[in-house]
Amino acid sequence: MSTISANGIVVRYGARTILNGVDFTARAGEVTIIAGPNGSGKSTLIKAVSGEIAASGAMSMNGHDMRAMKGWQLAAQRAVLAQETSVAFPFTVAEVVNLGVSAGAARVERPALRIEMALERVGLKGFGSRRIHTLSGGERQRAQLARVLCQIWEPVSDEGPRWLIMDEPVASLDIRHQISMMELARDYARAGGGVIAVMHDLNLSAMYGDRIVLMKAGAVAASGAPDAVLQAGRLRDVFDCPLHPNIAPGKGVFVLPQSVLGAPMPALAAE
Amino acid sequence: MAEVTHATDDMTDKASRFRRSLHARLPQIVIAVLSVCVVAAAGISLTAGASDASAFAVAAHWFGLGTADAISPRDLLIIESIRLPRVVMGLLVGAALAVSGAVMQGIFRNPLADPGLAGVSAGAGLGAALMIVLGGRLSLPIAGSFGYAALPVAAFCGGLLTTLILYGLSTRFGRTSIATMLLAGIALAALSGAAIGLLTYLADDKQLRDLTFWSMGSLGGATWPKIAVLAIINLLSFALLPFMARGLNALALGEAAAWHMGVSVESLKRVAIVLVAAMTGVSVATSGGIGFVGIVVPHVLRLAIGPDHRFLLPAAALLGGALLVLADSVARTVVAPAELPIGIITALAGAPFFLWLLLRRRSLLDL
Repeated sequence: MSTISANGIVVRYGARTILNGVDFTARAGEVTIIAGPNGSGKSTLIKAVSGEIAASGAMSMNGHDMRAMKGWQLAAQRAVLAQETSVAFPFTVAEVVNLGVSAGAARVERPALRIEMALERVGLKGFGSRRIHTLSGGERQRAQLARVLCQIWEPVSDEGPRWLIMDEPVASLDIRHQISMMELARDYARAGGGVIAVMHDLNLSAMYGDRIVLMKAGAVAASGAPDAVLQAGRLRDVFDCPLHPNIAPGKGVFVLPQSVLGAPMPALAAE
Repeated sequence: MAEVTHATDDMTDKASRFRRSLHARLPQIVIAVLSVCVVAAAGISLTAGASDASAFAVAAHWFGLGTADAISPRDLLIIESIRLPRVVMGLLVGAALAVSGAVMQGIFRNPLADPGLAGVSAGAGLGAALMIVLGGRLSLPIAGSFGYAALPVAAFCGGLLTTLILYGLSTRFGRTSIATMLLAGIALAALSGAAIGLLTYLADDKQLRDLTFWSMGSLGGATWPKIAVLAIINLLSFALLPFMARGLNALALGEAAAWHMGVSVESLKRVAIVLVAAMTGVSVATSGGIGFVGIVVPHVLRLAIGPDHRFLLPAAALLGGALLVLADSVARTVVAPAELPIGIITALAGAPFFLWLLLRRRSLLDL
């Protein structure tokens, strides 16, 4: 059972229902993208799936009931990259990445070497001794990715596949690093691990996602392969916006906003 | 020629490697230097004072090196029963204040969090004041059975209550508003101060003297039984610190990130809050409100060795102890044979430092 799966997930904050009976499955070896409009419950779903917030319903990781797992057991099997991580004190980049090394399940013989490898992997070679608050926003996000990677360095452990869970990982990155971040995610999945990422960019999602879970108003509107999920009528319904999915031969599906193709946005047309 | 170049390369490589390894060991080096500073500060404090009794003569006497008549019985008495307890108490209180400051800053994720500024010391003071003034009127067996521990226990309860209120008010969903925390601290300190003020009307002359002693802070009341209570609480607390250091480091990335890395955040916070209240409480109970040690010491050390709590916490204990013992030496000697309350010395040195800190980090308060 190399999956993370959730059945009938319900999350309520007071009277508001954020997730209303979500069924969700992510398979190891695949990149699973969660997409959908603002406020549709993507981040809440990822928080429930990573065990961060309480949710009713059944959740399992690699066949184990997640609710029976302790924090350190979860930490050995999955790592989470938040949209933004603020660091309270002037730690160096290497010290931050080292937190991931020591949070991992396996003892690392030469942590300094592991840190250097992780920093090189995210394009921050030589940044180890810099104070993290002197880095730009995108560089800080990549440093956090290096930390998260160190926590689950081997994509597969004796306990089954490990999981990389990311909430809008590319939001603060330039296009080159968006691509390298997505390629890193895909490499991790191809090596046997599982990747779950919340994304806003439908084109990156289509390029790198093996499966897309499209959410609307706290429920799953569609899930499946990118070309099956990203269809004009469904996108218009979910995002409340005319979008035009296309098939590029050999490249898969890509999505353009309607206005780029000539028609004005409905709100602008009304004015 | 090629060999020469190679040799030079090798040498610069060696030199840079040496520099790098020195840099990597900086925390350990600083901790070793601070240990020497503690011994030096203790030596200075034993020697300094209104009487000219020499610590070296006493040391010689203790280790059986000097001749029997090298030290007068009067000087021996001054050093053994007056200065030595003060030095030991200074080390313990300074260490407790600095460490509780560092732990509180780690939990609140902010370098401005300090038991003194945030009203925890005031709350502990109120607990102690209640015990002094009203303790006698409670059923005697209860107060009696606690003995020397009654005051620290009361101060601990006051400090714990204040910390819990503070945390509840300023932290929502794992995010701490530093502005709310400092403002809540001001309100709680004012409330505690007012309550202590009311208690002075109920107090008799002896109790009034005790209360005045607290508002200023002094190591003058050092006795071995008090030191025993202080030492037990401190050593128990310090023994827990190595287990908290990694969690506090992870917590710097936020509660969610720390939890994702396997830190049991809730129990870490609970232990830390009890620890801060215990160390602050016992310090306030034995030596009154001594300000600014808990904010200045960790901050200086973060500049010197970085924020890694594995090194920051022991270094804070050493520097806090050394500084407080030195401050006490100054307090005893500048207006000799009278003495200044030590709180005046730490405030004179610490308050300007704190203002400078605010100036540098003003953006932090624009929350």
